[in-house]
Amino acid sequence: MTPALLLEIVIGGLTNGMLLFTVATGLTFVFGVLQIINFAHGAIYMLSAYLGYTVCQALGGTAGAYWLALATAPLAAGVIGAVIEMVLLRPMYHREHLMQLLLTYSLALVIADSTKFLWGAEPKMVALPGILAGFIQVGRATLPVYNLAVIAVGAAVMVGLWLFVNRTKLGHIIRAGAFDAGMTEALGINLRAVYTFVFALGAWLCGLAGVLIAPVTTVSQGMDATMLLDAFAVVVIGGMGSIGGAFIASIIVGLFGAFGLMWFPGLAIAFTFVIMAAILLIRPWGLFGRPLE
Amino acid sequence: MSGEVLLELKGVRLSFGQVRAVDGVDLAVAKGDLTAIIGPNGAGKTTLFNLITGRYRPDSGRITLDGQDISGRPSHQITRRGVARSFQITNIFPSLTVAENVQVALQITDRQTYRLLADFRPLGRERVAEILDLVGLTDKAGHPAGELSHGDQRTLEIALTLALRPRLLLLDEPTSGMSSWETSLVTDLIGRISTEMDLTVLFVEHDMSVAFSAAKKVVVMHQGRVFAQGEPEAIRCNEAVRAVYLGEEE
Amino acid sequence: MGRFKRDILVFGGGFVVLLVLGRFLGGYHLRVITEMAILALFAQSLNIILGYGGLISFGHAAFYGFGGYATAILLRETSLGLIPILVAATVLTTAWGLIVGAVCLRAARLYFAILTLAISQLLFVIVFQWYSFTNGDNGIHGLKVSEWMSQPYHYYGFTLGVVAAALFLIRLILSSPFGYALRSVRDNRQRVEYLGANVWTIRLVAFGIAAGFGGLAGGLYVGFDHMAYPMLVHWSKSAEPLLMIILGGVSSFWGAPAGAVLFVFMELILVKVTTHWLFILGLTIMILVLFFPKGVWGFVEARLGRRKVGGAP
Repeated sequence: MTPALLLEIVIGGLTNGMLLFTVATGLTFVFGVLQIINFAHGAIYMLSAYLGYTVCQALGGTAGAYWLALATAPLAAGVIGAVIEMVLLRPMYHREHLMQLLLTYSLALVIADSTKFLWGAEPKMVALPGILAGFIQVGRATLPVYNLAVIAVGAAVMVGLWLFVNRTKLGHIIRAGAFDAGMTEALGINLRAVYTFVFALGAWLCGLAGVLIAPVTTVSQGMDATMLLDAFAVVVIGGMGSIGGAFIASIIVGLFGAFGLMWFPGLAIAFTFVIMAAILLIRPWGLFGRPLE
Repeated sequence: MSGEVLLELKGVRLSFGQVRAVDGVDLAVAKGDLTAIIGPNGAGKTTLFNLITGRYRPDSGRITLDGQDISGRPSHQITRRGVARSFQITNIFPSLTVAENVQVALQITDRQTYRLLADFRPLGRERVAEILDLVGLTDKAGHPAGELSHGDQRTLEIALTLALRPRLLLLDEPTSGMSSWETSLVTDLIGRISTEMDLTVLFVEHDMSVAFSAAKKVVVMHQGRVFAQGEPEAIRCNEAVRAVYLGEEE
Repeated sequence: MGRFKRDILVFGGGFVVLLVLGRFLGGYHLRVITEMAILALFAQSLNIILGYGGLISFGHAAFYGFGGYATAILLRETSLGLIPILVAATVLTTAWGLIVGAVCLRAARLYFAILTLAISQLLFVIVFQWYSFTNGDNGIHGLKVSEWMSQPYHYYGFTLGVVAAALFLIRLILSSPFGYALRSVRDNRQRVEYLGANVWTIRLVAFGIAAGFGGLAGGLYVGFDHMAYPMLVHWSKSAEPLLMIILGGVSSFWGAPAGAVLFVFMELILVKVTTHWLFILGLTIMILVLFFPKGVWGFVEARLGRRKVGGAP
């Protein structure tokens, strides 16, 4: 294990971690505010990847196509998210947990199968634009520009979210709403709109991750389940509702996965699961979670 | 009423962060006692119950039951040693009938829980009827517990605790939310439980008239400590106790 | 024991009626009813932990598929008859269920749902990738059962018998002290703890039982279909018993089997119309959850109830 190889693996792990974080943070944020576990998160991620693919195809796979996809597909995901929240989730807020979970779970099935219907079952490829396809030499390590870009995006998301939640008025409102919905509403704040926004934001983040990952993997059926499970692992490890926890957990899972892949390929999912189980045995609420019951 | 000590707390302390919920409590409860714990809000009464029943572990001090240390042991173990409690917010089984509620409690106590193939219905029937008769819920035996009035639900919870055949019964605000009629019934019930069954009863009360009329001994808590204790009359006339309650509404 | 008598009449009687009826049915109908019976057991096994235990599990396919694969592998590797193999598969799945339960039940409530999903997916990946053992994506085909078992009417009768016995056993368990303790935990776990019982252990036992019966259903299915494939452990497979239960009404004993029957009808009609089964499955659950929370059964019952009282709401 040379330092160069170590660096490459670490960067690779962080890349996956940041992609994971982008999805997981939406999941944990939605839960923290709306108290709903969105099983359809993975499906929205996949849907956005497919939409990104279509945008790229429509523009003939030119260099600019990817950037356009990056701009539009997550936005579409966000809009879809808003619609889902307004039409399907709103009637469910006062219902029992089982029903809420069933709703998002079945929504996941619907969206996932829709992608199969709309795009077919064969995997799709999205081209990586030139700038991102290059490599940077750091000492003896060869690092893909793409990886560094994704890490930068992930860090930006983290910082952006933190600033948003802690430093903006809307962020404060959201935190207040998560803490005491009744009081917040009594103060005249339109909590409904806030909820829609939060869900849409979560969907947008999913969408972003979907388009980001599209060039380095195949856009195909089943990517929703893989991502959803990893995102759940992150949220469980980090603690539901904790964005900071999701960040740390994503890094842990990403790094473990990268090293695990080197030594035990094919058992990647077992890894995340083992970490998840281990952490839950010590801290049933995750690293930074608050007891709910 | 042998005067023998059943429950003893020595120097028990518990803090939640900066808040000293229980700040050095020394208390001895003798077998057969019928003691009310009163005190203003935040005095630490429910926390005390939580400490005794194992929900929290004391930061320092000791809690002994019949000489054995029970400080911080798991709740279900402490229950098995004969300590039963009711809660401020009624805890019963809404989807089961009144009789089934008591029956389940009885079966758990008699260690019947893992009999997977036995028939539930006949086990403990007679004893259930006895208990329901004692608490006055016989004519509601077949009602789903979730449909009972608030007062009846709280009474049902007391019935559940009795099914445990406990040595020590802790009732947390047993008359809370009850009408004056229901309150007098429960006050009477507590008195009967104390005299007819071999039980030591400790109850937290907000309603002082209930505390003074039902209990044989009163303990006043204030700011996490035992402020005063003694016979109801003595406490009622105690100037310092009055001062502590100034401003407190009943 | 009045309880035994009444239940034996219902289960035994039902079995005999269907057995006799089967004599007059063709192969297609026999297969349909066989599938209904297997799925009724699958759904009921989930109902033990969902309806009666109050535990939200999205990974029940992990037991159905585990039992199915255990059966398939034993059929392939040994010359044992189907009956001992099913017994073995049930025992193995129960053990697997206890392990899964021991891990998942440690977690807080909402995390439990996620964990069950995760385990199911973990199993799926293992099945998919452990090619040498499970044949991966291709599944295990061409399984042979005995001559006798291969005939539709015989397998029909056999399955009905096994399912009737299993449902009877589940009925006994749910109306035993344990069954009521389980329901108490569902209603108010804190109260049960303070009655001196160990909530975790009660749930674990229920989980193991549910897993065992789920595995039995999976084994019966493999014996029926003569093959095992990864979709049996896929997370979407877990949606099927969920749908059956909400079709029939959560936490009533006959809701789950009734839901299974409705489910098979639905499947039969819809599979002819479209290949997008998962889409329809998801959509149906969504509609039920949004508009018929008490299940179709419950909805019907409520309507009938209202008519009896005179129509006033």
